[in-house]
Amino acid sequence: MNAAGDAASNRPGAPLVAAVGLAVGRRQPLLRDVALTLLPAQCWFLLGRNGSGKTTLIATLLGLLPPLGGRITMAPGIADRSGVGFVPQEQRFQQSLPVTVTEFVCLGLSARVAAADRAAHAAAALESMHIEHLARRISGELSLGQRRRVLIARALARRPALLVLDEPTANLDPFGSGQLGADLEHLRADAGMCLLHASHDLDLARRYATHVALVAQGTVRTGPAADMLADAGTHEELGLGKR
Amino acid sequence: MDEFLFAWSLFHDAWLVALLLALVLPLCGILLVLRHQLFLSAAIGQAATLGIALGIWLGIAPATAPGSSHAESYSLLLAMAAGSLTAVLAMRALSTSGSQLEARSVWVFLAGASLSVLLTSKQPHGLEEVHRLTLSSLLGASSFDVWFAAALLVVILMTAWRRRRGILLWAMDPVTTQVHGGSVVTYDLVLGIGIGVATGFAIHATGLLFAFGLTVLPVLLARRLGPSLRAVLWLAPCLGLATTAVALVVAHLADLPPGQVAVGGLVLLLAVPGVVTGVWRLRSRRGGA
Repeated sequence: MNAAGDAASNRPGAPLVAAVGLAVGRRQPLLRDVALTLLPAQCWFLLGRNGSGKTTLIATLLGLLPPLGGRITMAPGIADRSGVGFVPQEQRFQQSLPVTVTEFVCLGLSARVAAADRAAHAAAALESMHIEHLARRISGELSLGQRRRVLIARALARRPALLVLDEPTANLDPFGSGQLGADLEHLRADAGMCLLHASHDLDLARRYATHVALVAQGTVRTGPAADMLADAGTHEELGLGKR
Repeated sequence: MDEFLFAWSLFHDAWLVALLLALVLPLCGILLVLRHQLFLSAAIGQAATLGIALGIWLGIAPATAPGSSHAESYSLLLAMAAGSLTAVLAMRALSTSGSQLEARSVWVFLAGASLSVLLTSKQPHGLEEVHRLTLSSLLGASSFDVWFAAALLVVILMTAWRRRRGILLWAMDPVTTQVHGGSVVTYDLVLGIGIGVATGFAIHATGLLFAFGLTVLPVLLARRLGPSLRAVLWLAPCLGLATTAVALVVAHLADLPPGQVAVGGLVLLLAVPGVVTGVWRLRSRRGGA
């Protein structure tokens, strides 16, 4: 599946999102001097304690909140949102009507997709999450892990260049979490999609992150995953004690 | 049946409005059910009733000039304005804070119910009008109401058809709508006004019971019968239309109030699967024992 395909229309290798000197917050800056560059085929983990500002940072990077300072540059496909896929936290979905998996995934399709191509886009998204056999099932009746995959498939139906995931492995058992991480890693490696996880899952970050952004004490430290996760300061700031 | 057809010539405006609203209201109800706000429909309806009562209190609605077309228009406008304001505020609250509005819906319902009676209690015609709206009646529509209901149906169907995926995503997940570049504020405003206008008009033409019942019950019934969202989208208005059509005939032949017959019929239909399942389980247990 060409997941990072047509919608984004970005120059190969060009940054999808570049933030310099960014100040983010709703009224008062919660984080200052944020510098972050998201490139295709990177896997970023946004780590931080609850309330540290991860969600606010994501909202600003996605253009949902105006920056309180600094500058954000976005590739055309990101700026017009056609190349952005978003996976919200699953707990918010208590469906009150019988929505089939295919119907749910089709809600993620970009309006630009021709009617004739919609079924193919949805089918490819289901296939990439290995849930094509669930296509006719009612999404609200699935297990937690399956529902999480349906949410990701909805985001993938847009064929995004940047996939933003809010706690994708929360409440999953280690096996389910590992499998989901591996499938996302395939999307990154094969299709060149940039993944941005907001997560508390340090084990997953160790296995799949190429880069880590540590949100703590009113700012964001970024770097290659190997360096960041080996740093004793990272563990301290996450409240895991000294290594 | 001949008698019914004869009565058609007398009551066709009211019956046509009821049939058209039986298609319109469940479409609004689908959005409210998707947003987990069943009771909001009653709150919007009661707010519309308060709008009419306010018009009577201010001296610009039917109680001061019964039968006047100006008074009817003001009454309708006030009902739709109050309904729209309530619906838009509710939609904004849901989209911005994701809060459940149950407590606030109950507050609006009770405030509307008490204030509308208090405002009109010194005016016999006004109080009568508020009671009529609360108790529901399908006998007071004009030819203008028929055209208005038909126009409302056309606008809602066209909007639903052209924007169905965006509307459904907004109803289920406004945050993702925003991430996808959709304007949640616009959806809140346009769909809130749509729901408010439809409910306000329904209150004006058919009363609270019919408006609330036909907004919610066909959707709940379609949810039990339909295997998918697409099926519910078709089934809910069809069930509303079919039940109302049967109710109009039964109510006329048995000399019963049509609004109550329609809502009562839907309530019964909704209870049937539960009763059948219960009886089936009881028989299975006894058979097993």
